[in-house]
Amino acid sequence: MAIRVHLADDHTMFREGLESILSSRGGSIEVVGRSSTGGEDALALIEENKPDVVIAQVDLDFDTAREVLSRIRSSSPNSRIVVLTIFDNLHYLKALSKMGIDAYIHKSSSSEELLATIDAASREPAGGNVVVSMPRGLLERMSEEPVGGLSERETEIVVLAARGLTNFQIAEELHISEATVKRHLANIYQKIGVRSRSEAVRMALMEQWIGIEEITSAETDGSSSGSSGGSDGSGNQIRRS
Amino acid sequence: MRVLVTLTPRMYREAIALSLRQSRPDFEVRIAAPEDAEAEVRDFRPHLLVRNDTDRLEPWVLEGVPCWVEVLYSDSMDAKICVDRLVEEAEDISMEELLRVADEAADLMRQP
Repeated sequence: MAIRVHLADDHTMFREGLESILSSRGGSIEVVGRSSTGGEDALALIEENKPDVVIAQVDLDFDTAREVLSRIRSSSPNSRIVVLTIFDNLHYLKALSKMGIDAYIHKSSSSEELLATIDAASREPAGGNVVVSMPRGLLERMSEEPVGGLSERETEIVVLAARGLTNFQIAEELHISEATVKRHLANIYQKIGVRSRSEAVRMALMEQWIGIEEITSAETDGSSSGSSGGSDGSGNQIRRS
Repeated sequence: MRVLVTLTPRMYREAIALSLRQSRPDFEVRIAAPEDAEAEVRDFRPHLLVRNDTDRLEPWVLEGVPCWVEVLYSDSMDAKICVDRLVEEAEDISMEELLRVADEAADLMRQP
């Protein structure tokens, strides 16, 4: 029996191209719905058709991705969700896994790998494993990233932001310009899929990239920068100037 | 009729090429990664090039290609379409639109 698939991609030409890949399988995959990724039309079709697999193109910030995937899951709880994304960030992969997706396939994978991923995800009992398809080079680079994908300097800035320092104060503390602090923060937001410093701090604490002691140490030692070094609670060393 | 697809990422490149082959089996469709695009344009001499605007292709490379479709990854994902030096823009381009351009390129190729 054919695997019934809903294909959700925001770009018409690419969605139609992906459908060509799926239909090249000689009837083993049937595309029962096509839509953009997160619109009401997509949810209505998914709810109506209850496909075996939803392929969702997700190149969204973390919060939007969470909302979209949660709504897809609610529309058809038994469908396997295959996320197709350009993100190669370890944090993003982990976060999507926690949302209960069934497969994560990077867009630099081949069309054959997409077909294999759909096969594997559709056979996998719900909630068991997550199928991940990504080029080896990307995977190896991911594993070499610091915890959370943040560099040492970025982790340091999150700690100082968590202590309530303004951008100007962080710049003074680290002997860098305020513009550099802003650029680091923008990189941090993009890397971990958040939109504000408070969200960044919350996530860093929840994921244990920084420890509560890092934030409170400034209050106990009487300075905002703390001592000469420390741990972020997950093995990252935080250098302080 | 020769078509070269150099879009990134790879999955979309393969998807568009496959769709073109299925719809126009008499066209010769090749794919190449953006870093190989320049050499492939020189060797394959496509009548139509399907690319994205972030591929860092030198402008002179395009001069020898009569028709091209450029997906604007850097801005809105709309597309620029060039047929015989006439450039138009398309919002959210479809395969139907791409096939129309491919057919126009084929007509152009047959003209003396």
